[in-house]
Amino acid sequence: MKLYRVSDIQVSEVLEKMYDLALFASGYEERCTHIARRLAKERIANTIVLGFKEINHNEQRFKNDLYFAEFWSNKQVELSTNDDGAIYTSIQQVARHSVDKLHILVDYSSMSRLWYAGVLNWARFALGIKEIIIDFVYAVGDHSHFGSPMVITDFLCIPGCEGGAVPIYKSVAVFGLGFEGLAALCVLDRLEPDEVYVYLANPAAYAEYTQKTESQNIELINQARAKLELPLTSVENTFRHLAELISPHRSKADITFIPMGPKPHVLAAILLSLRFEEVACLRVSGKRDKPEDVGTTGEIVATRVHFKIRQPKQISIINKANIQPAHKT
Amino acid sequence: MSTSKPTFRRDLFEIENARNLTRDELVATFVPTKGFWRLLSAKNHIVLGSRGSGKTALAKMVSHDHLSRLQDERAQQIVKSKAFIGMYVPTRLEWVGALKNKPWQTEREKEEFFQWRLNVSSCLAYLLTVRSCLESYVDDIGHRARIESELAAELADSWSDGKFKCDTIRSLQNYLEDIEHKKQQQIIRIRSRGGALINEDSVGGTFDMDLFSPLRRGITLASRVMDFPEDCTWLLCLDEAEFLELIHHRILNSLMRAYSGNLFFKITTMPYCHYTLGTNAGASLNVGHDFEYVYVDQDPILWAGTKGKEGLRFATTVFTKRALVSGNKYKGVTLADLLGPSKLLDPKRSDWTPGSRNMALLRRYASEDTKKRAERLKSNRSHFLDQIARKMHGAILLRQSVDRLRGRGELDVYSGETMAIRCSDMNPRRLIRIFNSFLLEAIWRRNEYGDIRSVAPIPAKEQTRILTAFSTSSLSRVQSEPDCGPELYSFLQALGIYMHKSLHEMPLTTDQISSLIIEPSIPDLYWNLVQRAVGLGLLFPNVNANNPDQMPERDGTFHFGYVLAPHFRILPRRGRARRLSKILENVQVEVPSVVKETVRPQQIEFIFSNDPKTEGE
Repeated sequence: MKLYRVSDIQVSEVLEKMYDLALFASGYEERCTHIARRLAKERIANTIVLGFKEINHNEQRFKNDLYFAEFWSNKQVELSTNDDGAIYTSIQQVARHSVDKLHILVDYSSMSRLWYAGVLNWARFALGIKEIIIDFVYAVGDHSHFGSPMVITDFLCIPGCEGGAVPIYKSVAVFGLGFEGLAALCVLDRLEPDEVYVYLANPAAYAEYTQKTESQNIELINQARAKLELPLTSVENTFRHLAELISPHRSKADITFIPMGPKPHVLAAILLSLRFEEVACLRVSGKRDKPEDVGTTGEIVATRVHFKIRQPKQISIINKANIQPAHKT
Repeated sequence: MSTSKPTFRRDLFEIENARNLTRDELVATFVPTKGFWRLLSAKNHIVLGSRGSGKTALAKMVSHDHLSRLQDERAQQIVKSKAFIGMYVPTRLEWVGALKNKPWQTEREKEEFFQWRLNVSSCLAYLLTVRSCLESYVDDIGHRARIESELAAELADSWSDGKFKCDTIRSLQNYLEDIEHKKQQQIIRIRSRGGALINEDSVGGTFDMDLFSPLRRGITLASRVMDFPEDCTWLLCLDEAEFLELIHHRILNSLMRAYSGNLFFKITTMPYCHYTLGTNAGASLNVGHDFEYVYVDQDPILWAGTKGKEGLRFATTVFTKRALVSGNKYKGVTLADLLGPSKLLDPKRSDWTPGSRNMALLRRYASEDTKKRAERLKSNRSHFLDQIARKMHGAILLRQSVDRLRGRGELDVYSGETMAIRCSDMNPRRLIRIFNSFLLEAIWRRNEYGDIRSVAPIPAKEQTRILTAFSTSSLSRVQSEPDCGPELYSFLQALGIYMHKSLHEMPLTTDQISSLIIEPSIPDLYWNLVQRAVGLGLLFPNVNANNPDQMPERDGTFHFGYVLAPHFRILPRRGRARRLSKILENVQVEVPSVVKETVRPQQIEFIFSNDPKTEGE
């Protein structure tokens, strides 16, 4: 399957659409259930509720589990934040009954990035289906109590986003900035790229979030060749602008995305890595003293990702961005 | 019409990492060290060095395409005689990140996948080297093309089981890059589908064999067509092995343990990041027999000079070479002109006559014992200058400068050429970053045509501000170090504050505390922090002069990185050592807010006291 189009859609469209499958995640954040509460169950044929194996004795987690069990599915698929195996097997069971076209809804507000990357990887290699439409929905976070700084535990490529992988060219790193300025610097120290670009959310959930992001990352921003300010609420715009940013470096450099900002920006980076297979996307895993219970501003970001069997001619956002064919030669 | 391209010269002070320099830039700015020449030998080596210590530069310079361009008689002789043929394989974070992101793999699958990828990467490195060899050893272009074609065809046949055909090295490189990518895709495809398709072959199956077997085959073929002598030694430089895991090190160790014919390994990693001496063959590696360590943090320069001047000479050589390759901008600029002398570290002309300011400061700050000793030595001027004045000048001046600070006043004592170099700890990357920070702040005078004519000296306060900001940044970024960032930050804070208090709150003696003594009873947690600090170049072991490459194990003296001196307002100079246990008994840490947030229940507890104990060791 080919990633055919990435587009922003209205939340109302999501609320009115019929889905073959919906995936939710139950974790320690209050916003886990925000979108699920607005959806009509009868519009969704199958539901998979993923539960974090880690931090599962938390009060908010308990409430979220109860909600999902009562209104959606009492069979939660529990898996680790670093494991995507159950995603594939769970979707496979549902997709077995599908034919030409499959509509999937993914609420990635509180999901591990490995999980929603897993959904994308599954779609990419799905067999026997002509078209897959995945609507990604995200409840914008309200970080009223900023958590303790993250201590990095590992740096890994997101599965399926390994890029060219043989490091022989000059390196370009594109950092998505969040509130973890020191962690981003730590990654920079290890990657030691030839060129650095950064992007951050503006407009963000609140104006002060942009300021905080800038102040936390000032040292990295000063080292960057360019800083892009991209709207939090538009994955389509973010995808397009980042595609334009890396376009001159393709075929000449090893490009790595390190998205450490809000999830719609992470999603855009993963999508780019899937679209341009020589581009890598790194995930920085870390731990905190205390998990941050993120609420929501009430705003929802909805993005449609369209996979199609490869056609000879395609009209898509990718053409708009005037991107060259994917493979480095 | 001229066809020559205009020459664009990059400002090399903006590039502190050897990995990011082009081949010609690295060759032109490289300063050969003792460690470098040691690597050009038929021995396995593990190069240990803190971050930025120049490991990558060494490993890259060993590779044939770099060494063959080095303007050095000894290097040219090695290349000409075909004595050593070096290959460079980086294992960057991205490369390792694509290795470790498959937690579902069994230990055996992990090992096999690592071997497969390293086989492909080493063959790619080999191809770069072969191209360089062809250019060096086959003058006739037509003959070179025929040899390349013959070799490429044979290699393609060998590495693809006859499935791929080509007649250029470039095509073969493309083929290897493609199979690496296809392999990753195949793995995720099989995982997402729950299995492979019927009749689906493993991508790049020919690289599933023993580690470096495809490379050895390549060496055999190249030796045959290029007529390499029988005693020609191939050196495989594997860079940044600290990112690998213990199982990978064990695999590499197994190769070093076994007889490897004419192939030897040069592996770079951070101190304490050669994770095991174990092998997969039952017997452990024997240091000195199977391999040797080369510790490059202790390897500032090759050429011997006046004791104590080596560092200065190394640093000025680095500066001069970079300035030269960066074009006319820095023509004629010297560090001494830009930064001037150091008030604290170049005390040659200080006045120590009885009524002088220095004597008054000595009376004010020195301990009673030191004053008595000074009194005794007063009659012998040379003894007094050597045993008291030389040792105390910097400390009393620094203490007085800090004492006199009021309100928004600024220090000016962290300034001067010697100070800037000292604060780099002779770490090349740090040196270049410091140079770049100064050059960015320098005021350039231009002539009437707009060309740079000269540069104004940077004021001492400005220098101090730059070095202090650099020092603080070096410490604060420790906080996000994997696994132990906050603990390491607090630990270094504790050491720095203790040394600060000893200098600024206690009567001064002739030696200031600048080091810590580690005893075998050190708890694991602290020992882990010491090792990490050494890896980052924030602590340095005082190595045994007879065995300078052996890293101390839970025992020994470690000096505090001079880079942190401006932040803690201490003297970047070797002084006394104090037992770590004593330091931690006495220290009072004012944990800054950013770290307060990270303090976790299991974090180190520092014992605070308002009255630092002063007994010596």
